[in-house]
Amino acid sequence: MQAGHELSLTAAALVLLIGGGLILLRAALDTRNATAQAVIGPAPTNVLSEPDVTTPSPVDLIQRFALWVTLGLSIGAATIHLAAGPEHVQELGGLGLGFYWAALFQLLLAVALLRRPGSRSLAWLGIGGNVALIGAWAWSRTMGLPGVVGGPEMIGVADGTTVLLQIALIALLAVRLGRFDTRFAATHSAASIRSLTTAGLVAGLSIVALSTTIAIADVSAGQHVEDASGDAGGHAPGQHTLDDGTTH
Amino acid sequence: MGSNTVKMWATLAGVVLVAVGLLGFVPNPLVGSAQGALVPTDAVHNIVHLGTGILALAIAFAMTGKTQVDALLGFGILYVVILLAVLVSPTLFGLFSIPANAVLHLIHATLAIVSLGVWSMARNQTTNARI
Repeated sequence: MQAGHELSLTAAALVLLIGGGLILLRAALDTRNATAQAVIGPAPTNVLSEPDVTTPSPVDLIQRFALWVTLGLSIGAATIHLAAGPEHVQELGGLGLGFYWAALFQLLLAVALLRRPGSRSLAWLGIGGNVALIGAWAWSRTMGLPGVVGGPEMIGVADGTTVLLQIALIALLAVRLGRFDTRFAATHSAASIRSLTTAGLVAGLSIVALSTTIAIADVSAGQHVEDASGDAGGHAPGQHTLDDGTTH
Repeated sequence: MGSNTVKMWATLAGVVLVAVGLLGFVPNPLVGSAQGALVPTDAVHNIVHLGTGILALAIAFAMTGKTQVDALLGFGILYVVILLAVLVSPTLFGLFSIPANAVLHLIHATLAIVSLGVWSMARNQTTNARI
């Protein structure tokens, strides 16, 4: 299987290299021709120069970009919390339900922001809630959760990723509250803002999706390790013992 | 040319990535090593290829004009991030059972460089067309 995968990867690399090289060459030649044509005559008809039917204002573009990335971040963090819920309920009992409450808060925040994107109170609520969640995480990583023996937990891929998503979420909500979007729109051209927001949406949402996938895979891998070590009577990393001496 | 070339590259990248992603899930009959089961973490890798392949195909067929060109910039940035992440951690923080090899880095680098290159030229052409 590994050899087959290597073969397919090599074939893919070759196709992308040769195809990409040819396409780049064609693009370079076309660009040169277009430049020459622009100098000697009227601009050629080009799909790219066609005006759009609807042209939202630069501030609208930035706000839409911020909204969709904010939704992605909130849903991504909620999904990771949901995925980590069963493992933590098993380990911590009632305390582990906090993961489900965190997921619920972040999902409801996303729905509320979608319905009322301009609400400042919702932005403040989102910042406050996520700061509280990061605070709880920081506590568990520095001093350890109350009632749980074993001391502070190690920082892992899943929780580290979730915190990064939440920090980005807080930053975007702060941008809205600080009206940085209006200031940015006033100092940049509409064309560059449109390019930045489109590219930012594609890259931003993809990176959020990728990070969420990685974090969920990490949570899943951790559960498999714990299952295996549980069978062998061992303790997996991050496993906790409650104050009453019960090991979960 | 701009939109045509952007569409051509996004289609090629999308088809290749989807093909690689799907091939990762099934035993490859060409080599005949059907007995080895996929390690669970490898599925993540295949999902990334499938997901980004679908994204590239969406850029090729669901977008037009300047939006398509700008989306290709986003795709290029995404692959720069992926390239750097996998270069820093070839197992992507322990999630891949098989560390990324040179071929995989080459795929990521090609996707990043060609996407940004095609975007740059398509964008320049937009500027020229407006002179």
